[in-house]
Amino acid sequence: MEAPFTATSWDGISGAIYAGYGSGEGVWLVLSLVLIVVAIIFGWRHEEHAYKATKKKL
Amino acid sequence: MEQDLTTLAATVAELQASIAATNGTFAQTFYYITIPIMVLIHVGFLAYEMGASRSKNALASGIKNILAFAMIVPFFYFVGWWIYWAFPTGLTLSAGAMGISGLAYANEIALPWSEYMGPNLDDRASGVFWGAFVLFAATTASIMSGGVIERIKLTGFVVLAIVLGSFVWILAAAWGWHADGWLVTRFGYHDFGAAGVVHMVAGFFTLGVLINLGARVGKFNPDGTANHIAGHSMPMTLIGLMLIIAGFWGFLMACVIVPGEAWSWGTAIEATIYGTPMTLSGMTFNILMGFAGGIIGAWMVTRDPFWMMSGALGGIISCAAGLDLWYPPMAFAIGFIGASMMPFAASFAEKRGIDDAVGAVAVHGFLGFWGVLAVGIAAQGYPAVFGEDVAVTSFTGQLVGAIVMGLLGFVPGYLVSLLLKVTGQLRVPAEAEILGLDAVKVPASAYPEGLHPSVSPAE
Repeated sequence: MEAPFTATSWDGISGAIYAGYGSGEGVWLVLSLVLIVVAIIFGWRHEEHAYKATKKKL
Repeated sequence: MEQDLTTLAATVAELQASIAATNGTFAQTFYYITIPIMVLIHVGFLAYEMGASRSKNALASGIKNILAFAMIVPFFYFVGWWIYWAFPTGLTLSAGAMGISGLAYANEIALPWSEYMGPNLDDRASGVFWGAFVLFAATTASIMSGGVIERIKLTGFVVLAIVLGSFVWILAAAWGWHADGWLVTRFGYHDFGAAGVVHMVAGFFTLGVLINLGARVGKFNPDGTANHIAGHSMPMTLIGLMLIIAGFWGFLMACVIVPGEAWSWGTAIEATIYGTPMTLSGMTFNILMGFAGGIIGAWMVTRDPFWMMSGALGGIISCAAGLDLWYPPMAFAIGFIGASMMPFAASFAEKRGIDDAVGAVAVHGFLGFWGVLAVGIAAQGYPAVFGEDVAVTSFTGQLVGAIVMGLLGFVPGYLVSLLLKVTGQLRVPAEAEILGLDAVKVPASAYPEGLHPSVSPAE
């Protein structure tokens, strides 16, 4: 990702300055969402295995 | 002479720029500071919930609380903030009279790829406002979190927390906590400190979840009578409750709109989120009086430290909707009355088979309801929003608002938890509950060296 402006000085720069502004937001948004979903799925699997193991123990 | 005027004009312009920079930094800092103060609410809920759990579930309760906070942050970024600005006028996505709502406005300022949703040198407000709202959102999930301890599945809980914190409460806020909110503009609904939009919505959402979740093993006897399931650390719970109170100061501070900025309601004085004038000073009288009334009222009816500290919270919630308006002794009485009723509301729910481990429905749901109605009883006739010929506060308006808040909390809570129940994702298996959730699924121990209670009164 690049800066949303071409400059070698901060003089005169205003507005949105975040990396990827106007070009790459979608990629990072989708990545964030996917990471959350993956984390939840792993969490769910961990829980289910833990409950099954408990059933076996008793 | 002409040169003097030119110099004077330049000096005035320089001073104006300096004042604007100072005020902008002050405004930004004002909301920035509310965020760590509100984090204390979550420190408090964490301690409160872990203390209210039996030692076999202490860490599982803690994990649940921490994770809810973390999950709400990104979802509030993705969609919650947009909902707040898109839906004030109802579900039509139309713009309201103030020009700060509707689809076009929300798309411009709150879509996750908007220029305002990240570092922007021309915008010194969006991030701190968003941050404060995220903390409000996390508070709603923490309210639910306490009620469902010791038997809810973590993933099921995460889904519920996201629904409540990033969708449900913020829709309530759009309707009743926004200058274009239809409850405000049509009915004069007034809820300065979020008694309805945060506490009541979260309390009723929790009630809907508890109905489907069911009681903890051993809570009720076959004849329907209830057993008291004591948490493992009352001191931890009490400190947690006091930390929540400390955090409330940040919560209520963030309900204030500071003057002097382009987005402010004026240049002279603080305002509510509705644009009506108020002062931090006046609010301070009422927070402390409500807090004191709540503790004393709860002490009078229970003598129980748990309910006394819940009463402190309950006293503030009882006064929250009108903290900008009360005569301070009125705040004391409203807090006292609310906190006195609170234990009976908890018993009422328990007698109907609801196992609310920390009294979330009574403290937040019932007292949120009482707080909203209290404005309709004791503070009628105030203009409800900025502008001319606007609706005024009334009992009817507050009652309509309370009904909407109750339904908006309860219905999604009930339906989503029912769906989770049907799919087997709501409740842990009985054997895991009996063994204790820490031993079943937490790779750490709360008390690895054990708890060593005194064995005799003399020890």
